[in-house]
Amino acid sequence: MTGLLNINNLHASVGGSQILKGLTLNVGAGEVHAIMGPNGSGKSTLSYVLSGREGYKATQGSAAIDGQDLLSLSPEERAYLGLFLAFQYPLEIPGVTNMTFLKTALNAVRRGRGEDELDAAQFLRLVREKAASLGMRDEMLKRPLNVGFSGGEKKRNEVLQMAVLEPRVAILDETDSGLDIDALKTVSEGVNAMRGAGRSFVVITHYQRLLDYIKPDVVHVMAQGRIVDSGGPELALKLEKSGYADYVERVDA
Amino acid sequence: MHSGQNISSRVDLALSPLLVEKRIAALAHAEKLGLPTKRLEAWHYTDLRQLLKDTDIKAHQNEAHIGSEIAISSPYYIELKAEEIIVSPELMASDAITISPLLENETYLASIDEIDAMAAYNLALFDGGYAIEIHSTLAQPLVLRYSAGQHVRQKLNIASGVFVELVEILDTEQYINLVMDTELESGAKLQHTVVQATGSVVSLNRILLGDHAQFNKNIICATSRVARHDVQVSLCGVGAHAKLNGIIVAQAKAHIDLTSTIRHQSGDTSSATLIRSIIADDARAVFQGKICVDRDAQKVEAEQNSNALLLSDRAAMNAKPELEIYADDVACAHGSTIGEIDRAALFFLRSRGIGAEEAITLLLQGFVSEVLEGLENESLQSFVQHFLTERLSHIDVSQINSEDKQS
Repeated sequence: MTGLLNINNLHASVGGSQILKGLTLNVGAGEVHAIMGPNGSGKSTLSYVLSGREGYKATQGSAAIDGQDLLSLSPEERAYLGLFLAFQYPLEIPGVTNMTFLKTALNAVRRGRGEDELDAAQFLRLVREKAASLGMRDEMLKRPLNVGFSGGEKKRNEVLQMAVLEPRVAILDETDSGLDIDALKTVSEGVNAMRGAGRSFVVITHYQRLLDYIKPDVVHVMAQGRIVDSGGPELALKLEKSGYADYVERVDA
Repeated sequence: MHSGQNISSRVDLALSPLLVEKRIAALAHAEKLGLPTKRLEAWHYTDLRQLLKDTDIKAHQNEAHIGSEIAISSPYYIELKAEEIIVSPELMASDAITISPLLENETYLASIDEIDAMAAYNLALFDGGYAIEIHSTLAQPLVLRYSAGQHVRQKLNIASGVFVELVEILDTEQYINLVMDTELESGAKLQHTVVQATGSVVSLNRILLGDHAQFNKNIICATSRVARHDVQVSLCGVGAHAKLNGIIVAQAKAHIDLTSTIRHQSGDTSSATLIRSIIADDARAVFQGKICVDRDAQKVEAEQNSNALLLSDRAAMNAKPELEIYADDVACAHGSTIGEIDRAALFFLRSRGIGAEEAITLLLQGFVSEVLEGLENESLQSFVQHFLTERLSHIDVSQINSEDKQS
């Protein structure tokens, strides 16, 4: 087994029904893998099982980052190990400013990784620099987390969190949903700026469009809780034309 | 509470015959009624007779006072201690303010009749308290600090156009029965903040607002015992505005009752009420909020919101919003929610590396912070923030159903 993220024969259930049915996926360091698939194929479930959301239980199989088991860890411990989930629907948290949230998160992650916390001045410098590179105004940092943010601003804010927390494996769960073309470009540029030898991405999406901006190394098709096909970027183009019908029938047969 | 004793022996007789008579009558009235029970509509959720029997008098251990490191300071203060009342020299010397013992104010006392038992007890037995008249704007807050239990009555008058910040700190294990009558003349503005850290308190605050007067009241209550804060606002003058903010942090076996009546007696008046309650352990919080709009009070805007978070299976909240509207051109809205910690938000924070305990504290601080924004004075805001952070840190987060428990 090679790769930074190794998922092997993963089974998971939600509310008693089996959603993931033996999913295997290996993502090498520095690689970007796209997962496409029809509604209900289990893509978001995969992201929640990996990040440890309550109610999303792995029943069989394994998932590890760099050989270290993820499934037995709390959500925060997974973050220390380098996992990051960019949410499909980022939450609004009234009363907690973006800045306070980012500082609390960064220092918690740094503690968890055995690094020193940043003081207020160091943090401010860091977050301002990262925010500026994403075209975010200072004012957005002072507002309560995601409250009153547009869809694009929320997604940009997710990328800012990713840039601040510097994960090793980032899962982008339908980051393109609700974005206009300009926001899609900005968000993609933010992600592309973070691509590098040590960091892997799993990009979950319905549409080929996002993959024009974030170019994947490998494209997987997910159906009925499993990876049913894998290929190069050309696979995404093919899906755009033919849809998922073939795969759904193949699994059902 | 003292039944069986001779009534006249308990009333201070070194007063004018009129007052002695008044106080004896008040005590007889109070004794006849006895401590309020839930049979009374206004006390439906707060059976004081039962609650005080359970938790009063006996010294209470482990009650956290406000630490000296998070004090609010001002040269203008009055401190009511067990043996003495200290009035700061700056306050005595100030031209902006006149204070005199309320017991010497015969005009006021002659005009007062108390129907409610607690207020009648107070009228009969109070010995601390002042008639405070503020003639011009004070540069710093007036701080009233209660460090001993007793019946206290204050009468506060703010002259036309004057702005005052008043901070009351209730921090004693003993039982306090407090009555305050406040009057804001036209254009006066009062920012009144009450912080109850410990002890059992029954408080009644009646406020009259003249034309364009503004009254902002903030009640921050985090005692682990019994509290009843009753606020009765009368918007008598055109253009008057009242804002009531409340933060309740109820832990252990606390019973915290916030009751408000906001009466719009004049047109073009407005009011806004926002109460946020965090209830943990075996505690209970009560919010009874009544908005009345008189027949001739047109163009009134009134808004009321109460939101509560229950942190344990045993915690309880009673919310009773009431609207009584007789005018036809008004905009009144009320909303009440009772919920739990938002699990999706909790997961989101944890997925960003913030541990469960720290994430819960962050969510709780966020929950109350919108109310804190109503505090205009920065040093006061920071004082209240520190106080609440300290109180919230006492909450045992293991009572919140965690995913580990559920799975």
